[in-house]
Amino acid sequence: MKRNLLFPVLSLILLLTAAFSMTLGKYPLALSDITGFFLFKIFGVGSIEPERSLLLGSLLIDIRMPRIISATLIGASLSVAGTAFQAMFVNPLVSPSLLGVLAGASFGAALGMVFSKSWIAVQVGTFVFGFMAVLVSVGIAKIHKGNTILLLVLGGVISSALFTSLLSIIKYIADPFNQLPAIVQWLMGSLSLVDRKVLLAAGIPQVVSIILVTLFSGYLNALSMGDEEARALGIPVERIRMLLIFLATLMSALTVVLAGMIGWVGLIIPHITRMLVGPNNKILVPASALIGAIYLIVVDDVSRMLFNVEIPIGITTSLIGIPFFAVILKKARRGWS
Amino acid sequence: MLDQKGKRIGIAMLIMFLALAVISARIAQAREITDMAGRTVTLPDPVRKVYAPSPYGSYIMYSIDPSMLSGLNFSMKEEEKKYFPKEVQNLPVIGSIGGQGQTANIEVLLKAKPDMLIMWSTNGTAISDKSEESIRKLNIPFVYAVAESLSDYPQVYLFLGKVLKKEDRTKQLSSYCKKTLEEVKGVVSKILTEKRPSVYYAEGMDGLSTECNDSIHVELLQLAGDKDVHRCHTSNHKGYEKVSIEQVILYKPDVIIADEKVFFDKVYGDPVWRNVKAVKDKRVYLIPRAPFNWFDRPPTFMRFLGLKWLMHCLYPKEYRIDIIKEAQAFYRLFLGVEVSSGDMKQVIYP
Amino acid sequence: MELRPHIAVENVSFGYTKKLVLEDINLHINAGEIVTLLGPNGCGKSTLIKIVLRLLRPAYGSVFLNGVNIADLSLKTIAREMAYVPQIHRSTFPYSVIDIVLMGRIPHKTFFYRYSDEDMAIAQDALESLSISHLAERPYTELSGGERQLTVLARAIAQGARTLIMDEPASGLDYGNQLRLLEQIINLSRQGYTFVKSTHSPEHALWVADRAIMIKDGVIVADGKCDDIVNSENLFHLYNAKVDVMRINGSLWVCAPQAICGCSQ
Repeated sequence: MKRNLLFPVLSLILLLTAAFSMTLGKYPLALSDITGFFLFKIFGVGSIEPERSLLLGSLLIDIRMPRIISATLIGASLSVAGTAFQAMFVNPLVSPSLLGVLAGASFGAALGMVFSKSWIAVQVGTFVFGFMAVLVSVGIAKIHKGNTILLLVLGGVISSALFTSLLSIIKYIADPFNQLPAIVQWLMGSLSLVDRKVLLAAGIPQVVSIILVTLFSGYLNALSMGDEEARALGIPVERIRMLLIFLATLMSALTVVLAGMIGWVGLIIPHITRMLVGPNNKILVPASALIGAIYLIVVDDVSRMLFNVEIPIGITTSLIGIPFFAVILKKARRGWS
Repeated sequence: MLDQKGKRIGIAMLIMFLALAVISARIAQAREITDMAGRTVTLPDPVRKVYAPSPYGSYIMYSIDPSMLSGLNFSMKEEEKKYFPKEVQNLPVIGSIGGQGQTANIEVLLKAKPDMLIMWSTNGTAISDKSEESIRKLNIPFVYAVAESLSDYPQVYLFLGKVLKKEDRTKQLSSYCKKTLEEVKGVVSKILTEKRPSVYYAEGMDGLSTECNDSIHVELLQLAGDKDVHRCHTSNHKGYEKVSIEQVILYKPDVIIADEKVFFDKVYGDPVWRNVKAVKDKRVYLIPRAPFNWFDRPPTFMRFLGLKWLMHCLYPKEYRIDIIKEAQAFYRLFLGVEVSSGDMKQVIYP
Repeated sequence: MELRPHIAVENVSFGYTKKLVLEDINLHINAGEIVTLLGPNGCGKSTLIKIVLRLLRPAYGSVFLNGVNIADLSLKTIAREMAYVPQIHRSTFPYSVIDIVLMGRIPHKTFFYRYSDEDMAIAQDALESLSISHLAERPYTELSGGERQLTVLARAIAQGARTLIMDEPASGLDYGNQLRLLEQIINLSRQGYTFVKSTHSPEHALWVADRAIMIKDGVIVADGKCDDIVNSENLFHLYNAKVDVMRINGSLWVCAPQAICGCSQ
């Protein structure tokens, strides 16, 4: 794929997918309704009666657009975090959940749902415990005087196991009639809870993180050659790794705040992208952000349109992603030796 | 006149008769009953303490006589406590067997020495063979109360009244339930389907979880006109079907019954929900939940009051009642507590 | 021209655990020299190389680069002076050769950087100087051992560092590639590069190096001109092998192990 055309083409596909998804929804809207609305709102062309305008505005701007934007943010964040982890840990089979952020975040969410009445408590709990789980992993590695990859992975295994058990405890003491079904449903992921305030609060840090990781993507190449070679090239490996872990954790914890647990994206999208554009992280990182965004928008469209009921997005990503990945596995192996 | 020997024989026989009398009296202190699953069970007489391995059994005992419980399935929440006497509040938590909530510690249960176990079933069998196994091992007699829907409750009350020798009490409860159901049926049948308001049942903090119309979770909706907007076949007994807000807008429900206060508090101010008919018409009602939810989750006897409340929300003209007074009467009868009208207002309109 | 040594190692001791792997190491490397580190497995050669590159921190002692303690220098500054040429290893990701050589430009860029045309030119020149330009777009993982070694050597050259520190560069290479690598080292040395390389082959040391430093059990046992100290006695001391060291035709050094060629002395 010609390198010059890659990003314009991907960006175009993203915009088209987003625009197309705006036309999808359970409430039937004709394309003319949508275009008419935007022409009216932006350019003042044509006219719509105020009642209808309010309805269209709600549907398009308050309901569909936040979903598409959050799908974009989440898809991009998880893909970038996954790409960064795969380079840092020199292992194409790791995902952003390696250091426990997703286990910690789901525990935090469940904790909030059982012990408080406010939604903000749930969101704060998600975020805080996502970070705490990663701090535990890093702490375990540091106690054993290591910043080496292996120790971090072991720390992550321990931390994930710890927070998964804590989550089980919460599920056990939760009220089985009310709280437990709510927790279980949340954990399967859903983009329906997004509202504009949360989107802004979560989206800005995510975009900043994506940009920063992209800027550091050249370092990722060196890191993936091994700690010693990277250090010999002048890269302060420990500091850069901590920074990248921090950014990836920030992005991933915020995805759980926005929409619960969404797995597989961080593992599969970097592979697919690597298959298309090669392993050079300077291209891979931004490309997987775009492809991840496109993927999640499409998956969300399927989740909310296929049946009368909304399929939790965590389920759809696996049901679509895993078979797809199994099929292209042969080709994707070109992405690593 | 009996001689010395005859006297001794006489006394011995008297003693033997007395002994036999006492023994037969002891035997007569057990009695046999047939439970609602058709099983014959030998129970001690009298039954002083009972325990329900499933929360549903405990709930019905709360209405009959909670002081007969040897223990609770889970600790009482703060909001529930004030409706029960101190002895009940402080009952030990034993846990449940076979599903909902924390698993019972069998030794704690045995230590509590209940005379009888009340099993709850919707169809006459245990939830699983495994739980019936573990119940059998306890060697405590157990009876099955079978209730598939609210219409079975009058029977359950009468049965338990017989078993617990509380017939007078349960007769009152049973006839209240029966009367309520008949009353409601009468009112609803006179209203044409098209005139009945459609209802969206909003569960979850985002209000976007609901139940299919044939789910047991919305039995009250079925009784109050069967106009649940979400028409489908329920896939599992857990419920909580996710829907999108677009779908809710499309459904154009006349009324929303809301389960979570978090949702209720923000629904009128939410720019997205403003497009839903019920929100526009300001017909969103928050389900009261003291001490237990009046509508569902958990499904208890409170639903009889909940049914009246629901009718009052849906058909204010055709079903004229003073909901505060009705609620006070219900609490007096079922829970034995006096609730002031001010407090009751807090419960219904928090 | 400075008289102080280019690299000075003073009183360095190091241990991964409490047991010391290197003890009281003192040595100098002068600019323009080719210095070989000789010693049996586990003697500490690799560890010493990593300490000189500041990849490991000594428990005692210091390393000085042009008179400055490397502990006071940033990794980037060090990288601009000294380049690490590691043993070839399997890479997980199939970067192209040019991508890998371009990584050598990292010490010259800020964290936010794009490769400039100048960087590209330098990288391509590095490939050219080792005659591997034709491999530029090939994935690193598909190359032979020898080609991979030349790639990391090209990266070191692209780094712009004038001192190349190589850790057993010939291991894993076939005979022909080993010879070609030695040729390149000689070539580059003529252009003014300083080399520090560890090797298992005394012959390579004699063919290529000016000086040899012999290390056994973490201490330096000999340090001097190659021709002088790479002899039977020292080789026996290092490797516990009887080897005859002689010159053929007056100029080419050969090491002949007695046990195998049955030569007697």
